[in-house]
Amino acid sequence: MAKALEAPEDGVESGLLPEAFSGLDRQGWSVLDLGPATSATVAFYASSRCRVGFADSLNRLADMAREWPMDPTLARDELREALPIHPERPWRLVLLWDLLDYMPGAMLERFIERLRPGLAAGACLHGFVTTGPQTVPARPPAYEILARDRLCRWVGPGTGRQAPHRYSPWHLQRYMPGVVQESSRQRRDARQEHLLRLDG
Amino acid sequence: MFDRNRRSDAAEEDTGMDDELDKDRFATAAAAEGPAKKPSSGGASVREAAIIGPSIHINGDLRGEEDLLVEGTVNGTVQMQDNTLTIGSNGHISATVYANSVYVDGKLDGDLYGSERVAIRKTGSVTGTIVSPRISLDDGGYFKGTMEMDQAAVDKAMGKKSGSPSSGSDAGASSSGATGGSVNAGTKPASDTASSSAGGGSGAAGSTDGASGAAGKGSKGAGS
Repeated sequence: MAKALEAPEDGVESGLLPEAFSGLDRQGWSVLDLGPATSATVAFYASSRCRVGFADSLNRLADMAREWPMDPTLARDELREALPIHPERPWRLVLLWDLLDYMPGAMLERFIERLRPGLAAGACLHGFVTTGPQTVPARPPAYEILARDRLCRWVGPGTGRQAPHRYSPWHLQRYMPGVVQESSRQRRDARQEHLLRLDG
Repeated sequence: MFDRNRRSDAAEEDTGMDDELDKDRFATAAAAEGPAKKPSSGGASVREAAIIGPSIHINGDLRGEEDLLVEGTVNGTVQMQDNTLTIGSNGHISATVYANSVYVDGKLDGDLYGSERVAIRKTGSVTGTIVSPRISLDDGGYFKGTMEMDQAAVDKAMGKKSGSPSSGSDAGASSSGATGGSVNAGTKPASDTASSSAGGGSGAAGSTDGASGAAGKGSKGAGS
């Protein structure tokens, strides 16, 4: 769990999450959050009749990324452990947060392959990608959802490192077959916010 | 873990639900602290909660019609549809739980159905599925799994169970306890589950068919 996350940044505005949430208003809330559950996030969801999964797998997936390439069997087993079993009702939104900064392209392919059977047709994936020259935190930050368009980002201790990937929308679609770019927004903090959609 | 005090002021939001939860927590805590029957300041007596002490280990189907505080270990099923279940800081439940309200200070692995609410407090940890219309997580509390905050889902789940309130035990015959509960233990040998202390609480969680169970005020626990 995110025990070392003790340094919240100032509030992070999200331009695309409101769009994603409004889709859920129409279709029913079913959200898979790959980060840890926090009191504020649970309170946010409590205002909606919803189903939300907390995988708390950011660090685990980042660790996998550090060891990539892995033996395919081991990678499959690790992904099975890190990502929740497929629910009776599929997820309509997956919150990736900053995970895309940590996973190499080949791992992204395996990642979406594991995730896809648990997703509804047309499900969205939301995440941020570092595009500027700045470093990324040593561990993936955790997020709290304070409002539809407002987040709190918790960065853990440790020396930052260069963002190795800086995926463009084109790269994301290449490494995640069947996923298309729904919206994208360049932010002032040299990060790009992505809303991706599963084909179908 | 997360330190809310260090977050910007803009991050602070009061859902209003916590206040209401706190009232119930205090009542539950008061009920668990001592020989209940203390009148509250308003004159109404605080409801008594039965206690499963820290040395008690139960395997099986636990049913009851009174509030319960678990400081021991329970594996199996807990069915207290109309009552409050509190998992104390020493408590560990690996079970499917049906209750009216559930407060978690200890650890729970399994599926949790709360027809009214489920609250994970700062020392609480839940891994599994929670189905309840109102769910809260205190700072410091841990949750991993799925939360379903939909009254229809709760009704469906609880309705299924209420259709078979006396469907019997998983192991052996049960007998009624002095306060209305029953524990159908027995999947573990008596020698493994017998305990010598009930954890110093008051009340009783009913009788057991295994060698473990809750004990009355100040007594040695049910043991072999």
